[in-house]
Amino acid sequence: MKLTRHVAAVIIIYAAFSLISLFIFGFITIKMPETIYGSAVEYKVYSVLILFFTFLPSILISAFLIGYSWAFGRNSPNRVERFSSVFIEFIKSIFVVGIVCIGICVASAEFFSPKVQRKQANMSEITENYSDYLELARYYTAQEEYSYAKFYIDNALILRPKAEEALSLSDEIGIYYSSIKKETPEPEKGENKIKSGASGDVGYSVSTLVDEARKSFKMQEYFNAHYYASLALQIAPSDNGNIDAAKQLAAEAWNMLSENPSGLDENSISIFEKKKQGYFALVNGDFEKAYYIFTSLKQTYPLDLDIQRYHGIAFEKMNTKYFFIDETENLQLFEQYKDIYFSNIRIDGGKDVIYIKGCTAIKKTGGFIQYLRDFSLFSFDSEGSLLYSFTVPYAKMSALPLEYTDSDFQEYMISLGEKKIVPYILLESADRMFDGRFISPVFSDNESGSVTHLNHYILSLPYNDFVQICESSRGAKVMPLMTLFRFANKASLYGFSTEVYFQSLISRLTYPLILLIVFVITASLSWNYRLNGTLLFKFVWLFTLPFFTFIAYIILDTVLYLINLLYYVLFAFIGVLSLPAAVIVLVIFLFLSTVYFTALRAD
Amino acid sequence: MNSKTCGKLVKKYVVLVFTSCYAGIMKSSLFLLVVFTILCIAVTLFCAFGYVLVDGCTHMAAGTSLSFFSLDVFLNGIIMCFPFAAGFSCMGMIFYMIRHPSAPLLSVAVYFVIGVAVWAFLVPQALRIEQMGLFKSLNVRTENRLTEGYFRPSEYGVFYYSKINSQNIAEGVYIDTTGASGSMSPISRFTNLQLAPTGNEFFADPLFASSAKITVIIEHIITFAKVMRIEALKAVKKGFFSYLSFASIGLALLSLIGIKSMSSWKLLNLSFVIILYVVICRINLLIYTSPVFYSVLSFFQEKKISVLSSLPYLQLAVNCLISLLLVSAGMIQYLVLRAGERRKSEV
Repeated sequence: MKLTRHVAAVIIIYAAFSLISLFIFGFITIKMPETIYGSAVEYKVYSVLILFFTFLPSILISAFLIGYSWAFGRNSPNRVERFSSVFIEFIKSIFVVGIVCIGICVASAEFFSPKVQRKQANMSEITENYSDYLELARYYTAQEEYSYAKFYIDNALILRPKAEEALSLSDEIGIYYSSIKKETPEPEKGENKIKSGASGDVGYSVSTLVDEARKSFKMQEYFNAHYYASLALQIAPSDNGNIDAAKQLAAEAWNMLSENPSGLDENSISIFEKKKQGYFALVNGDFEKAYYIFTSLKQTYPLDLDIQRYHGIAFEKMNTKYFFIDETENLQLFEQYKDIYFSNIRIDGGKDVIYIKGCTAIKKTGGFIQYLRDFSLFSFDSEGSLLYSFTVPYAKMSALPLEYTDSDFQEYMISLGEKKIVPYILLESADRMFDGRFISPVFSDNESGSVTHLNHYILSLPYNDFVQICESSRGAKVMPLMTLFRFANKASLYGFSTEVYFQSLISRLTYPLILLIVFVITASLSWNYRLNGTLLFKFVWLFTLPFFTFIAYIILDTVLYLINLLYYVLFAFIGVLSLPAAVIVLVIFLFLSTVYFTALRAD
Repeated sequence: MNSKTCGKLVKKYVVLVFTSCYAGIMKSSLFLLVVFTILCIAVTLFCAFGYVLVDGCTHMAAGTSLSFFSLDVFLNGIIMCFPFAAGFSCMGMIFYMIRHPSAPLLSVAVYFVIGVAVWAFLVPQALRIEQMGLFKSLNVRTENRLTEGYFRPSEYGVFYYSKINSQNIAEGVYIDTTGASGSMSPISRFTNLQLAPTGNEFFADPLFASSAKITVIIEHIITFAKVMRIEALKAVKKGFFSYLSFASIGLALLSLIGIKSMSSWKLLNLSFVIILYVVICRINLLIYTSPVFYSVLSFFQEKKISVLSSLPYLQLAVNCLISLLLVSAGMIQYLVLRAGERRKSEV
């Protein structure tokens, strides 16, 4: 215990000394690039911590070496035999201290270092994104595409609210934007269409709907009567006995709606007319128009039951086709993943190359809803020739149950092993309050002209794989270990090298074992070059400690690099078996190094 | 002196030497030879293995079958790595002497004999064998072509080749992840991109260049090894004096023995030796690569100091100076230690 205490004291003091020295060094020498927007102190702290985490294994190894060299001299008898009980005590102490040090190294490599790196990268990304947004806002202003221009300038202002150039551009765009009224985009022609049936009034039978329609008609609620009757007609099979009744009710209700009601004042007639317009739009499938009519009515008459009801229905319909632009406000500040790219094999054998600049998962939904910033898709045929490409500032992704897709797609996904959910991406967004502001994918490289407009896109990959791809965007060296474990084997499906991911997996899993071997060998070195028990530790020797750290860094860096290359070879020869093989070899090395240490002696 | 007397003398010394050996006086000193041999073989094999490993990895292309082990590459690696391993093993002998400090003078004598043999005979011979190019014709590997359908990171972004034709012309997309292109769209399409032959870069496939990215330390080691190898081969070709100038690095490295007992803490001595070993290697690398040494050279040329007016002379002078400093430090330290011991025994 005395031995362990001595060594632990040296390690703690030296690690603290190193951190303080690095902070002093960092605050004097590190300068934040002028292009980065944010606190210089924060930037320097991150830089110093990254430096500290890089050197941490070397710092601990050198402190371990010195600590044991000193402690062995003080705590060992002059004559020690091979494999004696003294060495057994020593090896226990070495394993305890070594494992604690390894825990610290692994925690810093797997958790702290990636987190700090991410935070520092965020600082420069905010600046980069601000510049990009500003440029895009200028571009779309020049193109007179004010919906896009407003979207980009709003996002630029979220990142830097006081930036003068962004504020003046925002004013300019605001003037034009307030006067625009755009036509709604044409209906979508998506590749993988969802089966119809997603609506508010679900679970009613035809007869119930006809009863509801009859009841509403009696109560002079003609909107509802027509609505229920139409719904009954929509879902009724051709041989259903209620069809005639439904048709009659629908026709009568329609006639009633077509006539202006008597006994109403001018204002009520105007409201009725508007409701009628909205309702007709809804019935005719123009639910964008219906939504904005009912939204405007709801603002003025929030208690009107017809307005409430049809606004709700139109809202639900809108949600199946669009998401609202205001949902994406401030999301960029909370992005979990950046620069996500992958390829996806389509059902027709072609490939899509997808790039997403940033991704925000909504935690409340368990990550099932994700907003994808700057979503770009390049679609290639099976020969590798480009079919079309598009990009959209934001897309909303959700999990779509496989049963809502067509049967071919279902079969294909089942062949891939996915039976539940796939990523469903809404590509178009709309303003929540005002008509005319829609953001749709912008197409380019559309040589064949096969696709001119897309409202949504369904990815032919399991939803969980998409999540794993997002996490892999951080790099194989820093992505969560469990995800790497699951993802390594299927990396090549998405355009990544299996060799790289497997090498990384083996390397990260065996890192603690390698360090343990290094610690045991270091202890042997400490024993061989231990400080004579009769000598006192001189204060001036403390200043030589960085030399040891430097040497430890050179050796560790070289050894780890060569071992990592060796893992490539191992994977090339024996594939997935390389992981257990590497572990077995390292355990043998650990055993041999332990035997070597206990076989040392002192005369 | 007749032959009988001569024979008696030889017999007497042989008996003396062997008696000393058995008495253990020379045992640890002669054991240095064993240490050197074992270390030299182990380091050579390790480096040759590392060479094969790096060579194999640099020829990889994602998704293709790999043929890592090649006997020719391994044998070539042994010949190439031997001079470095021999030079490194000399430092191993210093480590041994630090750990076993008995009979210092005799050990130092054995050490220098081995060291001189390394730098005067073994290293130039190995370089001559290498010059013969025994494995050159066999060392040409079939070049792997880049494969389609993988994301390949580059310095500023990521390439994705959707199609590569037989003329090595690719089409696909480029993702500008750093914003370096200045383009508004971070992803763009390219066609008719002529790919460079895979042998042009250190790693044939950029995919591995980013994942097995060479660290700063490895880069320094590779640069040092490359430059020193080229200069050593040049020096051997040029003749005795050129090689002598080059081998002065060996003299400087051998002189590290001078600081083996600088401190009473063995571990510290060990670290001094390693650090100064790295420093001497770095200085010698800088002599060949740094513009500072070229300006020093031109300064001496202007002053018409002919002894230091060429690079080999300068290298020789610098290494001799280092050697002198180290040996002097060692001798002073030895004399001070002896004086101290004498004073102690008098007391």
